[in-house]
Amino acid sequence: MYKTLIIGKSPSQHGDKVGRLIYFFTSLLLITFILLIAYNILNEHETEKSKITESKVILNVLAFSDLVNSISKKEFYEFEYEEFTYNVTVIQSNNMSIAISKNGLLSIYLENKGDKKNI
Amino acid sequence: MIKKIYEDFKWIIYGHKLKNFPERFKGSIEPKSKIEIYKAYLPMVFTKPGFFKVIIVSSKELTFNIVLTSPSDEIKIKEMVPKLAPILEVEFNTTRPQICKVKLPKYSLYIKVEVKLNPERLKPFHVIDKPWFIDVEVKKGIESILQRIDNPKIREVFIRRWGGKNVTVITIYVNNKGNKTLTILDWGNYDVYVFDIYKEKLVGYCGVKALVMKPFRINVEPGQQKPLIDLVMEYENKCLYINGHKCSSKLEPGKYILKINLNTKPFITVTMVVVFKLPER
Repeated sequence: MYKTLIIGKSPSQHGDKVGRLIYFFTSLLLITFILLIAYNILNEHETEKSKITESKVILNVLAFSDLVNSISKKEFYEFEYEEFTYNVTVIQSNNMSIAISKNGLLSIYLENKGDKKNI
Repeated sequence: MIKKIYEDFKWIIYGHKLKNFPERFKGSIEPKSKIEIYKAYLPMVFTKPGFFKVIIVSSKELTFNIVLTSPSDEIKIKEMVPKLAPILEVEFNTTRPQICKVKLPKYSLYIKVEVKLNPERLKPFHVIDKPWFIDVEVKKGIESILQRIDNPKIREVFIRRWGGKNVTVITIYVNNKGNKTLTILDWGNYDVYVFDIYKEKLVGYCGVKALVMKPFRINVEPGQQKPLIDLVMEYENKCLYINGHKCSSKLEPGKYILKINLNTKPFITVTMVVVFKLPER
């Protein structure tokens, strides 16, 4: 059935070298395509797996308390825009930060501090 | 030594959605540096007064095992949980009470945004909030209403009640700026709330409740404008009347917020600034 789908006729029906070559390359193309799809599916699965856990570190209560305190923040930003006053408070941030300009442009950053807090 | 980090994860957002926030981060971050992942004008994101929360977390999580040396350690951990709510997950192992498992996103950001009206910047009859298909018109006197009334008996009622009086008429129109016919179902009921602009406290209310079984159907073609409701405001001896109904009996002159809720489908709310002045002598 596949043979008919690919080139319409089986190699024996062609009976020449050209026909055999066409059959061979088309089959090779199909196999490569299937392998590519399989690779993509597997790769996606690997990425999804990586989101679950990155590291498992053993901490004592004191070290954990330091980590919690480093994530808890109280940063204030205030600006005025037309009839509104905006008050922005950063409550928590872990390896991320923000900046707000005087006219209210918010920028969000990812950070690589490289210190102990950046676990 | 600080290493370059390569990351590939999804973003999860709780609370107020940030428009055009990327779904995923895939890239590397150089040591002791930061990468901008999002940029937006907050006045375009938060357009109304109120309190908003935005929690951004990465799908990539960190897991810790915390060694508990005494029962007081468990209490300390439990005390810390609210500090990192809602991103922190703590699991106390009953079979191994000396260890507890903690999970938190590798990247997280939790911000609170409070948008407040600045009374000093608000001009009289400034419309703070309204649906896109609504227009608000404010006129002194009832002339604008009389122009739209053909029935002589109704005209007479209006003239007898408000003719020559110092009244302000707020007219709410349906203005179809879209390209499809707009249908409004109107049950004829409305509620008007008056708020103190500085204390944001309710200082007045009036409304009309009518038992309408079959709502009025208003079809507005694209580019067409149709009046929906007229509110005649009368401020006299520190009393506020809307369409003849007492809204507040003691209202000092000044700026107020007027919130008009119409019992329609789609639901229509108009929030605007009003100023009441004592009559000039």
